[in-house]
Order: sequence, then C-alpha cells, then structure tokens
Amino acid sequence: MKRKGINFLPDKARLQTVRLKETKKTGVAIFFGVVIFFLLFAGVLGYNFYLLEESREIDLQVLTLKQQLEKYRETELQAFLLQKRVGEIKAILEKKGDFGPKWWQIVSLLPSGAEIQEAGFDQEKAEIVFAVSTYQSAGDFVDNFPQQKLEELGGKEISLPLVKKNETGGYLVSLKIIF
Amino acid sequence: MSKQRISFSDLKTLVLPIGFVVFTFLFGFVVVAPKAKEIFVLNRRMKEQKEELFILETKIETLSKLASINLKEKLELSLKALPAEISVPLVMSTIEQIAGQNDLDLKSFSSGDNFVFECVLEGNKSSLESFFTDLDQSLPILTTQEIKLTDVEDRLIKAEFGLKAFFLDFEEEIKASEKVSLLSSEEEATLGELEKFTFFALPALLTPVSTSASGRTNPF
Repeated sequence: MKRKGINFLPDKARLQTVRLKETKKTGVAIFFGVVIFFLLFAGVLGYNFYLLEESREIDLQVLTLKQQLEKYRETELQAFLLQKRVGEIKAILEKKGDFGPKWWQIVSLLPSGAEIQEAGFDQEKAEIVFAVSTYQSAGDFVDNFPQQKLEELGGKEISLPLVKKNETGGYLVSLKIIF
Repeated sequence: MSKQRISFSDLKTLVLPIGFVVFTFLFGFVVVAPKAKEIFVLNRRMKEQKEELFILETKIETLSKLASINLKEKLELSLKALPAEISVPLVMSTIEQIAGQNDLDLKSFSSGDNFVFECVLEGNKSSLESFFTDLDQSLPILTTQEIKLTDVEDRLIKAEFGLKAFFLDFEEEIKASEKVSLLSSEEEATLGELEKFTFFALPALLTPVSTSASGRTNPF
C-alpha cells in the first residue's frame, strides 16, 4: 500500500529549504568548476615547465653543435670556395666549347692541295680564303661537305661567297660557315 | 502565487562561490594569461630552436662527409683553372710553353682590355693545330676569342688570335646564410674534367738574387 507523506512545515520554510538546496548545488558546481580550473592551471604550469626544460636541452644541443661546427670551419670555407669556383668554371667551359679544335677541324676538311691564304674565325662565323688549282675541287668540297659534320661543328650554313681566278692559274675560293 | 525573493541569508551562502569565481577570474587575468602567453612564445622559440638544430645537424653531417674527401687538393685544382687574380706572366708563360712544345714561334704577346690578350704565332699548320688543341686542355682556362690566319711563306702560317683570361676573387669570409652542400655529380664531373687538363706553372726564377757582404740586397 502506497504511503502518502504529509509535509507539516509551513510553506515559507519549505521554500527556504528548496532554495538552500539549490544554493548548495550552485556552490558545489562552482567549487568543482574552480577545482577543474586549477587543475587545468596546474597542467599549464606543468607544460610550461616541460617546455622550459626542453628548450634548455635544445639550447645545450645547439651550443654543442656550434662548438663542433668550429672544428669544421676550414672545411666549410674550402667547400664554399670550391663550389663557387667550380660553378664558374663549369659556366666558362660550357661557353668556351671547343672553339680552337673546332676551327682546325674545319681547316682539316679543306680539299687536298688547298692553300690557306687568309682565315678568320669567331663564335659566329668562319671565313677561309684558300687557293685551289681547280674550281671543281672547291665546288665538290662544298657539295660533298657532310651535313652531319656541319651539325657536329655547330654550323648552320655553308657557302662559297667568292670564287676568283688567280693570276697563277688556280682559283681563290672564299668559304663561309655560319654558326 | 507567491513571489520569490532572495533573502540576505541566501546571499550569505553565495558569497563563497561568488568569491571563488571572482578570484578565479582575477587569477586567470593576472597569472594564467601571462603564463599562456609565455607558453605560446616558448612554443614558437622551440620551433625555431628545433629548426636551427636540424640545420646544424645537417650541416655537420655534410661537413663531416666533405672533410673525408680531399677538398684542399680540389680547391687548388680549381684555383689553377680559375685563379683569384689574373697573372700576366702566368698567361704569357703558358702560351710560351705550349708554343715551344709545338715548335711555334711566339711573335708577339700583348694584353688588351677586359683581360683579353693578343697573340701572334708563326708555324706550320699541324703545329698550330696541336697548339690550339693543347691550349684547349690547359690551365688556367683561356678561351680563344678570334683567330686570324694569314699565309706568310710556303707552309708558314701566321696566326693572330685573342685569348680571354678569367679570374674569381678569393673570398675569405662566408656569410652565415650560405649553405654548404655535398659536391654534386655535375661539380664532380667538372673537377674530373679539369684533372685531365695540363697546368703550365710559371717557371721558377733560377737566377738567385745577389746579396752584398753587408747582407743587403744588391739592387743592380
């Protein structure tokens, strides 16, 4: 059988009890909130301490490495100078190409019996004036000049801009190669 | 329905919690906020420190590897190829030596603008050919600017040409920002190519400087 409780307290007193309970609850909640806050703060403090320790340790490592680096100062300077110099050398060698030997390759390709009268050679063109006994040999030389050889020499165009009959009976031929 | 009023006794019960809250806020502002800021700064500093540590570790590792190869010898070779300053006697001596070993007659040698030297050689065609091949494989690096050939006499050719010499200042100090790396395969290849070149050193002066009895150098 269900028992029904009867509140004998007056209404005001009952209200006060309810308020007191609510206030206590609020107080407890605030208390726990504050406790959690302080726990978090303790965590922050701990993390701060950990970071400080870690930072100090890294500082020490950096210092040790810097001391070690001092031993390699000469190596560092040598490596730096070497790399800078080698870079420049590489650029010069690439630009230089094989200018001198290339020139002589062209000269060696002249028809047999050709005598060089005058020749000029720079990065853009090669001009050779040579004497041959017959015009045919000069014409054959240009006609038969292997395209592959011209490409190897970096030439774009080959021509005979001038052919002149020589007083001695031969021909003066001017050969021009444009690079 | 009765209106609920907060009595003085209720407030008395709330004083402690409110005090806690106020204290917590004040504490937060005065202590926690600066601490949090400190952590933020520390974190950033740590990140920088770790980066510095990584750079230093990598640098030391690279340098220890570089120290194991003969850098000094390689640097000397590169200095032979590209000296710190242009030495006119060295360029002239190189030309003289190459011309001499190819039976060529060095008719003239003069220095012009922009480190270009004008040379005139005389000899036969095959000697001139060997000269330019040797010159191409010699140190210090000299590049031929222009060649002009004229037929002088029977089988004798006069070659007039310009030679450009190069130099690179020797820096004693390196900037902290400069990074050192291991020699790349291209750099190794360039050095390997240079090793095949011939260095024509300046012949040592054989004539000793005469000194008088007093120990002073005789200027005559």
